[in-house]
Amino acid sequence: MFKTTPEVGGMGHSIKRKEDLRFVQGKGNYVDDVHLPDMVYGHLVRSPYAHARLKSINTDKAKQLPGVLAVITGEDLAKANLAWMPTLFFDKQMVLATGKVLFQSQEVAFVIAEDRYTAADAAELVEVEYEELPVLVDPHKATDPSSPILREDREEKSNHIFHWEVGDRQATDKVIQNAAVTAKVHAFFQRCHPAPLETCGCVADFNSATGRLTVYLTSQAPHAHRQRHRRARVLRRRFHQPARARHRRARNQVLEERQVRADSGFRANPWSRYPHLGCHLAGVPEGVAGREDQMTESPGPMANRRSEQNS
Amino acid sequence: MAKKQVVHVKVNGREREAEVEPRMLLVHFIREVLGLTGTHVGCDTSHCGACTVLVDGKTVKSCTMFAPQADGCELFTVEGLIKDGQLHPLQEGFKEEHGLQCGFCTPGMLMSSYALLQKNAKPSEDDIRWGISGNLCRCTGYQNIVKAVQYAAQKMEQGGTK
Amino acid sequence: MIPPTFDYLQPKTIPEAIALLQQYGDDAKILSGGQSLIPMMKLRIARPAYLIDINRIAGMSYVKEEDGHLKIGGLTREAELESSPLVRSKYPIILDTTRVIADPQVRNLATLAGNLAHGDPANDHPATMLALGAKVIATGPAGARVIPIEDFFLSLFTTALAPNEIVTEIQIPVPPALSGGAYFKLERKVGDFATAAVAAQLTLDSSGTCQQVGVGLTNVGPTPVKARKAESFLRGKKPDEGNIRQAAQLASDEARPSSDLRGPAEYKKGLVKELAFRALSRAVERAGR
Repeated sequence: MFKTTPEVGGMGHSIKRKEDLRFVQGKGNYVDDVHLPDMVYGHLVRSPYAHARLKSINTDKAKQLPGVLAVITGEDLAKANLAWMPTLFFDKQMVLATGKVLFQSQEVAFVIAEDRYTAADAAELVEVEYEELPVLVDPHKATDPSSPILREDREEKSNHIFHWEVGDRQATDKVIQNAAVTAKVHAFFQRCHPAPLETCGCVADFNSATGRLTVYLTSQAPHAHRQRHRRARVLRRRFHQPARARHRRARNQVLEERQVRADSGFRANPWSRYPHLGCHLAGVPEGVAGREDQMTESPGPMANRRSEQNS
Repeated sequence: MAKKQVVHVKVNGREREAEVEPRMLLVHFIREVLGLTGTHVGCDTSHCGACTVLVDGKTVKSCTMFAPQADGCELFTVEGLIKDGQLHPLQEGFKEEHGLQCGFCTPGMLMSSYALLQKNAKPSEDDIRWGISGNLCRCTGYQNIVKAVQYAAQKMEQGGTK
Repeated sequence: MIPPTFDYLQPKTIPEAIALLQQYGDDAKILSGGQSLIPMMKLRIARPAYLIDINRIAGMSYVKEEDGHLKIGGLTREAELESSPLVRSKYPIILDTTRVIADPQVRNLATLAGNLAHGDPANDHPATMLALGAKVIATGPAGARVIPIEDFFLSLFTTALAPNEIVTEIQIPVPPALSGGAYFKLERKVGDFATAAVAAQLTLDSSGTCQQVGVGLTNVGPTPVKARKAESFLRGKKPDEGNIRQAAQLASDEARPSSDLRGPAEYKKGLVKELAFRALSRAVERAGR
């Protein structure tokens, strides 16, 4: 094996990490460390109910709190055709709830204020009237006729949203039929939250003069985020791809040199939509992050997966 | 709106003062008013210790203290460890022994370890694990953090550093 | 994460603090260690309009023996108990207890007085103070009064403290010779509240028979539990294994835990039985020294 001398180092030698020098000095430059001039802060109002009709949202008191710049609801977004956004699986999802909420902690309103303390206070002042609906928490019951239909926005009133199949069904069935032994496994995967110590966060900085949006994001999938925005044509602008942005496969993903923690796909979720909208509407950089938000936004499980094995 | 409070501190040897709402958490005071972002916020529930700093020589979770409580006190944060461009043995230890991955818990770990070594210059592995028991790490599994502190303890004993 | 707004007051003396409590009544809360109160405020569960910070009041932090009692000041921090030579040498049950409360950072600020005054059955010191037969000194506008610990815990988060009173001292009768105590706690991880915990304190006479017995249980009821049946069973008996096991069973019967994320009620009762056995055994061992 080719190995250089110890003086030269590199190939064949163990090397120390480069980033540790700034981490041990507290110069990690995490997303919450980003402070831009005139930056404002966002705070989400979330639904306590898993399934409920939104009867009314009153944002007057929240808007009147000094230091509050805007309180955005799904209704406001609908006016700009931004209430729904495409998903990676050819469906669409609500950005802010319109009409009803479909999961506990779903985002109902977004407060933008001059500082995070005011934003938190204003979020409490948003008055939401919910009409609770029956909940559906077991995916196996989703297609039972007695189960509530969640997606009333779709033409087909069913909880079966999409079907995804890959491979050769006929050939697979044949192999299973002809197998000497077949076995079924009912495996339960509980909801899992990677809980990285750095919470998810996003700072969005839209420069209306140049039409450029710079996003500082805790993300493993910066390109997925850009794709999402491109497809959604959110702002009809070119997205600024920083010259030095790099995409690394391994632990530390980099977008504009922001140090983030990569966590088993956890950070590929569409967090960034709120600050983007916020800064677009408010015209200033916008940041949001938080442990409570992160815990409630963690992706649901691939629950109760059945698999058939054969040998 | 509550009456603001003047908070005067000596942070890493430097006198600083600001007028803030009494409810401002010490961690936000440090990060946003003093501009020292090395101290981190990792949780909502005072568990993780990423916000650990020293107030008058004692480790506290700065997210569970209001800024006015620190008025007149001496604060020591991770930014204060480095001296004249030289890394503190603890900082060196974390670097050498791979005691960090994402680095988010690291400032808190450094502060707790610093306080531990001030009290106990020759800690056993159990002592170290006890000393950092108020700090959570989601990356390393702690064993390299223990090694980092052991590295520092040894270096400090040899070099006579504090 | 962000607490609601409040007005901040910093009295310099206890009478000043009490006057403020009188003035603001239900709208005010005392801030001492703050390690229970501040997290509740950050979650917006507690919302005092006035916070009375007593941390600057001098002379409230001490650990000393006087007039036949171990006296601990209202602002004595858990960390001070942990490092006190007096506690370490003569009151190992208190050392057992303080070192399993939360973590080093929290212990630097948290106080024994606060641990009692908060009225949380999940806190650790209540069981130990019940076992030790402690007294709480509550100071109000009319002066100081003594509240025996067994009368202190009324219901969940409610103690016998009047709204205008502050805990200024905790007194523990100095145990006679041939006394010993221990605190055993099971937690899911370091820093957690107890899944269950037991404090046991006893005094033997020269023939090795139990004279005084105190048993307290943590986090197995809406208040800390004084296991009176276990105590009276063991009084006047030799603390051999058989008797200790029976006493432990009685302590378990007196526990009224709820099933929750820490485990089912039956499991917790079983835990009390085992921890009571270990605590009583260790107490006997320490009494013999």
